[in-house]
Amino acid sequence: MDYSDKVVEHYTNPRNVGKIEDASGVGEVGNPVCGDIMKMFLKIENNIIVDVKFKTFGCGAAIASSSISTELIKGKTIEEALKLKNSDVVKALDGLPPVKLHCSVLAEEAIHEAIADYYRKEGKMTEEEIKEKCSLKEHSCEHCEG
Amino acid sequence: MEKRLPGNSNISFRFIEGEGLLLNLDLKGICASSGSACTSGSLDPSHVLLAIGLPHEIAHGSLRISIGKYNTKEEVDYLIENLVEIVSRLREMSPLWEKFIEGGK
Repeated sequence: MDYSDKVVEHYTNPRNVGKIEDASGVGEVGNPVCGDIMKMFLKIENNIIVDVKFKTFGCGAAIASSSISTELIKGKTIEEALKLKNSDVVKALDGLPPVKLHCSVLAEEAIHEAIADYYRKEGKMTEEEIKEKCSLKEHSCEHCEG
Repeated sequence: MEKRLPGNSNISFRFIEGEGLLLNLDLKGICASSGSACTSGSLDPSHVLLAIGLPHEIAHGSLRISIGKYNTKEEVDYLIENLVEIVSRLREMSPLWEKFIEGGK
């Protein structure tokens, strides 16, 4: 697999690996059929993501995407984190092979799910409002459809 | 098993994914594969492992090691030593391992 130096660096020394015991929100996406599962833990204080950790079952690109995403959203507001697109993750990694682009999508989805979980725990919004704010989608990929 | 190639084995490590394992072995100078050469480049797990009834998450963690007549005992020791360390590290990172440890299933 043709990975950029940045991807190699991140899967060799992934940042923010682990879990947060008293997380404000936890998001888990992917499934074993696709071969990638990503779990993101967020600690949110005053609308700011003060800490973030991840656990990932997956290939090098999945590990690197999770690792760099945690760096990109740490210290940001919820709104800023929700604006993070998979293309930003790809850019920060100096590119991903086309067959691995879904890994960056998974990272974006994991962040959105974790923030949605935070809103659900907070209990101030309806499920519909949360879905819209966090743009939650049904998971779909070529592996699962086949 | 009389007609089996003796220097080749396919081992699955539960809770971790094959490519992550291969990349880390590669960094240690160890060449291995996650499946057959005829399916190299494919991201899908081995169709043989799926056909014998293994679930996807186990089939995804397959490592195929082949040794030849020129490999030494020291090289095998080097492989084992690094494999233990890499598998432990990737498991610490795996949400499936976490579930297994906490749920005991």
